[in-house]
Amino acid sequence: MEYSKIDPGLAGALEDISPDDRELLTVSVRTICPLSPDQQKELRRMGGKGVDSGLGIYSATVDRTTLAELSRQPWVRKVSLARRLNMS
Amino acid sequence: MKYHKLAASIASLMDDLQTQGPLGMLAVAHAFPLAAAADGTAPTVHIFLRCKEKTNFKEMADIRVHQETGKVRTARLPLDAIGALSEHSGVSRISAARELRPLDVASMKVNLPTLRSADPSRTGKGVIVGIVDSGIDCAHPAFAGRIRSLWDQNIAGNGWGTTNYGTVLTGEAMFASNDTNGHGTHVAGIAAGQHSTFGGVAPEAEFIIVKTNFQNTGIADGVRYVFEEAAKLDRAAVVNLSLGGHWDAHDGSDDLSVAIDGLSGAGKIVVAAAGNEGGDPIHAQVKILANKSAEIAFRTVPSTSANAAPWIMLNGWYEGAGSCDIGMRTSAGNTTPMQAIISNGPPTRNFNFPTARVRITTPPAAVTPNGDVQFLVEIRPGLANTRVQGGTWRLLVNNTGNSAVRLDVWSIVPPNAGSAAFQAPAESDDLKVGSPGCAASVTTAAAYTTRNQWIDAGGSPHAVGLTLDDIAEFSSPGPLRDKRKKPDLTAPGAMIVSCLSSKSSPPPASIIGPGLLIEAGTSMACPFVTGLVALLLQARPKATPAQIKAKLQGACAIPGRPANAVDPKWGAGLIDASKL
Repeated sequence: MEYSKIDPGLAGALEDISPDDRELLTVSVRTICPLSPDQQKELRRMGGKGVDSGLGIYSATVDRTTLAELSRQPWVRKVSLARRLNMS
Repeated sequence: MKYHKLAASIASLMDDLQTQGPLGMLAVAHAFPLAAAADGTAPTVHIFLRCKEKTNFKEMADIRVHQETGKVRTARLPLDAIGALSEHSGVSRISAARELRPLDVASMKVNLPTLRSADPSRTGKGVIVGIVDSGIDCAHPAFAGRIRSLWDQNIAGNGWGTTNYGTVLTGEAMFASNDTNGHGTHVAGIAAGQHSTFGGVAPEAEFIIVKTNFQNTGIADGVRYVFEEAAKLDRAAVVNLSLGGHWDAHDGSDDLSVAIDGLSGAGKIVVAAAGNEGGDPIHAQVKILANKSAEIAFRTVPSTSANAAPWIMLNGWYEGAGSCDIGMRTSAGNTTPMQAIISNGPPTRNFNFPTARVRITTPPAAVTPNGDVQFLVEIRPGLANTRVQGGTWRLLVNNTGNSAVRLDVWSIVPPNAGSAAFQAPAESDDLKVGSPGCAASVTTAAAYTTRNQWIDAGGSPHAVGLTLDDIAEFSSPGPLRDKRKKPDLTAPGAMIVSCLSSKSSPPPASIIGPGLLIEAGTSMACPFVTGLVALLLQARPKATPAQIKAKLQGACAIPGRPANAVDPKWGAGLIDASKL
């Protein structure tokens, strides 16, 4: 796990997931922009959604193992835990 | 007849009764609702009655008073019984009921009728209004035939495009998705509802709906869905986000804000609510000199309280060049070690006490997109409890760097839980516009009170303690953490009547009539602005977010302040629709 790319919320959530746990987390992945076709393919494989938008910020649903792999990619800048917002 | 107890409304009706008789006065339109008597005697009128709290009206056979006690009551009676009622020693004032026109108070106070009469074609026709919220009541007549599609993120399915979650519904299939909360339906009605006696700001706009899972990732995907679908139709679109949170840096650098900035553009506008934390002690700010310490106190309700929180999160930020050690003293007096920034490996440490479990996460500045340092402190109950213990807690901060730091902390609890209330002197009633309201491209709406009393469908009067014709006390103040100005403008947000979702179960006091609900919040101000944006896009489909914001702000003013004044609560001030 490349903790230098993991936001504190996600780091805290990982404390509750053991290394071989397959629990899924919804995360926001910030990448370099644009991603190459191979990088897009990799991100899709690892659970990234809407990758063809080219936005540079994508939602993904990952387990701990996939998160570790994602964090080690040089084209990934930061991964944050998805947070629930409230109606105003 | 004690005329000094009669409001002008009742005195006027009494005069009509005397001069025209019962049948004559019913033949003429009145400003007050009257019901004819079957036998041709005096018509029945509904009234407000001010009286002594325990006055008993049971001996007055003609008069039906709806409440047995109270200083303000409602009643109905034949007009010719008004004289006897006025003679009652317990009565101090009698006034006639008014017909409630939902939204007309709000729209009148911002001159929306003036805009409409100047150009009746300004209806939002041809523009897409996106509502990313709790869903919509597809069966409500206010939206008939105008919902193009609904992406329900909560129903398992293949989603859309490469965003493969939730289910997209069109046509009759949309009825499979219900708005059981009611928030989204109410918001949609304000923006673009259509009705003969009330109506939204842009009644001919069409809708694309996202029933979101309320995760910030789902909301970003929802905004993208609306804009992509609108693009397929070659239509301009405005997305309404009546939601927010305090998990972010309050400077627009968070992922949702940046995603929205990337998705917005010409003909693609987002409007967000400022938030409802005005006056709530959820933000603290301290300046700590080099090598000095600070304690930031906050209070929690007793763990036995109905709204005691199952967890509390503190979201802290300070500038990236700084260096602080973080600790916590619990309400029971237990203290964690002071934790420095952890640059290698997991930056989280857990501390278990009998009455609390504390988790402190202190990664370095390199982790954040804005280069500042973020830390999190999570408080959970001790293993024997389900709620966080009540009392006074203290966040402990040691500035171990070479220069002073300004530290901002926001407390976060689950919805409906009592807040972790920061105490003086650190508590600071500012910097409360979080994501997505803090996004640079977003037009962010504060709330104004246009009504503070109403009568529900059962005839009971209600009032709220909001100052009429003023910024709503609950409206979150800015500025942002980097001093940029938010909110952007103010619109009617209390008390606003709009569409009631037939699948929701609101309290009776909030139900105004068939299909009508009254609510308050910056959630209500936001769609008012969304509707105005739809009117602007109708004329200029390629307008950019900056152009739209400038046009709106140019039509705003803070009452009693010089032109172009800007304020952390009002933004540019209350919108005057007649100037758009």
